[in-house]
Amino acid sequence: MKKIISHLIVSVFITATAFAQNDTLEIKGTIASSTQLNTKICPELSYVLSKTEALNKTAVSIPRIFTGTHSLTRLYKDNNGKLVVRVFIKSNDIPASTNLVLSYGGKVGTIAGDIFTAEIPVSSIKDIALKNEISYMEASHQMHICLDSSRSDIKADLVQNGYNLPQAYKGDNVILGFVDTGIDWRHADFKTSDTTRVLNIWDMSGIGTPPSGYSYGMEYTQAQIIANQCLEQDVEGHGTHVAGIAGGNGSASLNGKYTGIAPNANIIFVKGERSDSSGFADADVIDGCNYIFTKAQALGKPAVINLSLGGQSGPHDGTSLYEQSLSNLTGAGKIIVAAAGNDGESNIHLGYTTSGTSFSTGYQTIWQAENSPKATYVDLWYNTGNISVGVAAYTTTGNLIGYTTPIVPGGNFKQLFIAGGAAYGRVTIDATNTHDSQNGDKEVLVAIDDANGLFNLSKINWALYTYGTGTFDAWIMDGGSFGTTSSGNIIAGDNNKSIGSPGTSNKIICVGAYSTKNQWASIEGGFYHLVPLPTISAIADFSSIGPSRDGRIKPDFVAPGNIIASCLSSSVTLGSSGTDSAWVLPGAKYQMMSGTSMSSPHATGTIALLLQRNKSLDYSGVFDLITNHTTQDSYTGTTAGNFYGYGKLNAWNAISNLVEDIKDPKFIPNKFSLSQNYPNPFNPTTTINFTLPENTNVKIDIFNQLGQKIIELVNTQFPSGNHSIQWNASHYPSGVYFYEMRTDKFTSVKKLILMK
Amino acid sequence: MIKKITLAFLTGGIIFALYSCAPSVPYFETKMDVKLKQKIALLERDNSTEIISIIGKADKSISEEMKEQMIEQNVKVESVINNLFTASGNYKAIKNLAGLGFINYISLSINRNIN
Repeated sequence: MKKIISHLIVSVFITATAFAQNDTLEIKGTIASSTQLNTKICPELSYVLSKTEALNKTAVSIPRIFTGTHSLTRLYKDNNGKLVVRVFIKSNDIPASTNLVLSYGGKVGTIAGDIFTAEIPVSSIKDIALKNEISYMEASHQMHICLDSSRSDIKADLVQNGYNLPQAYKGDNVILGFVDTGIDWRHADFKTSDTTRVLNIWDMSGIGTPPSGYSYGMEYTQAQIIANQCLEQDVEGHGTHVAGIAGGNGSASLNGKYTGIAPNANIIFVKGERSDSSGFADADVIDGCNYIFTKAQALGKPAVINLSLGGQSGPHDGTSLYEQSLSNLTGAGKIIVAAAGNDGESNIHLGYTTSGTSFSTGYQTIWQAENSPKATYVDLWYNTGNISVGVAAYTTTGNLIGYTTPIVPGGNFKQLFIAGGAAYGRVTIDATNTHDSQNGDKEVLVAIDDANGLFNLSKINWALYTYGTGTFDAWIMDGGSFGTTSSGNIIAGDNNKSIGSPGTSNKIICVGAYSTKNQWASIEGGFYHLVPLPTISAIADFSSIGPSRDGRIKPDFVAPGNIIASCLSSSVTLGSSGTDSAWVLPGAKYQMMSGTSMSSPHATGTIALLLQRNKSLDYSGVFDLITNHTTQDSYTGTTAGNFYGYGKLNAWNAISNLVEDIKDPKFIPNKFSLSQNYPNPFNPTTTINFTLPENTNVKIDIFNQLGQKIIELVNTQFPSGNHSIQWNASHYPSGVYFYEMRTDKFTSVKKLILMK
Repeated sequence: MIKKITLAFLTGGIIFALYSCAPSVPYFETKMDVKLKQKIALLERDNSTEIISIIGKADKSISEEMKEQMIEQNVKVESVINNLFTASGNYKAIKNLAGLGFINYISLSINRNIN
């Protein structure tokens, strides 16, 4: 989890009582101005219209006279500074109404039957409400700052509702796997009405019977979990929160408000921290992933594993044995997702082309050992040239204390750093890896340690110096950061290439984070928000930045990670000795967390939805589906980059462009359906998918806007199953067309747009 | 065999002793990443029995027979993924493991943190 400076202050919402004094007078007139309007919008929206026009307020308290209780309708300024309001809209024509909202610059949220949520400009309330397709519009009284909004932000709610899809997708028959701090398997969100959704837990910190083929930890079966015989606990709460995002079913929340992305998937969890160590050992993470995939395979189910963990050790190019192993575990129906990392604001990277022939003619970078660490490490990599590397030390006032001998490629140094009769720490420089067996590059490992507590490494400022020839990348793996000063031969560190490992693996989906919410109602009472207040829809400050060292765009895409409500582990200690209660939501079943740890499971859950539709998807299939169908906006731009990757995760776009697993002979759809063509708009070819529950004749025709049939695409007998046809419209002009599918039991028409 | 060369040099009135490795290094070390070499050097100095976890790579897909040979070196083999594997053992066992002909490369298992 991203450690946010916990400056939690009461939000600046305008209180109800502050408005209560003069409300009555100001309501008159506005409501009487349009009888027709009054029948189509709620009194609160009428009131909002009057208030905002008169006072340009950003929050309006609705007086008791209208609601029976004070409630707060929150207004926002969108990216263009336009005042917007969240509403529920009831419509007799959902497609037309959602298009209407979009045409006024609004946003469409969750669609449930004939009602959908939307965010619309206040200035357009009247115009939208008066349209025939709008039956009624009601203000959303209170903002909920949580998983419910991130779910709709990535359009996962549309997928769960089956909007414009052959069916609803909730992760049925898919395994969600996790290697994390543990799971509160007692949490209602991981249960159905009659059983647990958790099939297995491997507690690597436990003592007992390990899984078959392994020599450590304790494995629990579903039967043991049901029988309350499982001793595994998540005392940190991270794993429970992560699992709730990917797969919580919202059972512990009112109306399932905090439902995760794949609420019907089953869960296999690996508590990956052993009792005798902190953190997650690479080898254990590999074992955990192998265990989950093996279990899933035995069940005949596809699996997607979430790794909300990482670090800066390694070549950052996918060639470490750790990253190779994880990549090799993936395959058809076996996907791994990793958090990009939270080093987007950290000066943990250094990269430049060095020159010079000595300490005095080379370059230096301040290397601060923070909080008196036991040790701090730098891992330096380059592929051509010969770079000499050394360590220097300065007083806190900037005077040179001394410097080590430079270590040339092939050299090795381990010695106390002594100057003027005083020692300051122990320095190790190992440049013996002159041709890495996995990528052919040169590596220099530099370490400064406290020699078993003899020295305080933070008493002075260290520096890394180089000279010779070559361009390198170096990362501080632990215990410090590079300086920000750049002057003369002093080079500053930066936050580039800060995606951690395993995020830089070749066959792992890597996910950065953007902000969807920044405030919440706490169990402590009142509203809290992050300081500084993150910009909604923008990249989270902490989200690590690409590319990988070998130049691949990273992260692959971004998902909501700041700030997210999800399951609270009952084993977490609340209060001053544990988690600050300010992060906990009323009811104490959910809590707020932020980090790429939280964005990653949004992707993991989404991939579970994709795997439900096509269990044979592999890494490439998932990568293409998601990155080719992301949401792009004013923040992401239209060109892939190393902050947002290929854009923002859009679950509905991805799944609606996915053909079901037509290779599975056992798969027979349970109903007729005609999918939206893809791509759409298109030029000049597009694909139309349809499903048949039985053998039948299918006729598909294309019509122009005048209703004239311009081509018969197909008119023949099809077997039951999933089918796909293409239309090549190279001989037709740009415009709006319609395709109609007819069988003796089913007819459906959809619109497509040819744009040349 | 490790050959130690001691150099004395004077820099700004500060003296450092330099221990440098000669080009000739033991066979097993050529198959280890630098972090593993550093770790083993430390454990060897202290004659420690600490168990270390590693990730290894063989030059071909690991068979049962190869796995048996690895186990004979007193390492516990956990996951096997084609030619890659995870294992653990004390530093002596890991050095012996690296000495097997079919072992291509071994890296130290690093601890990572939650994000």
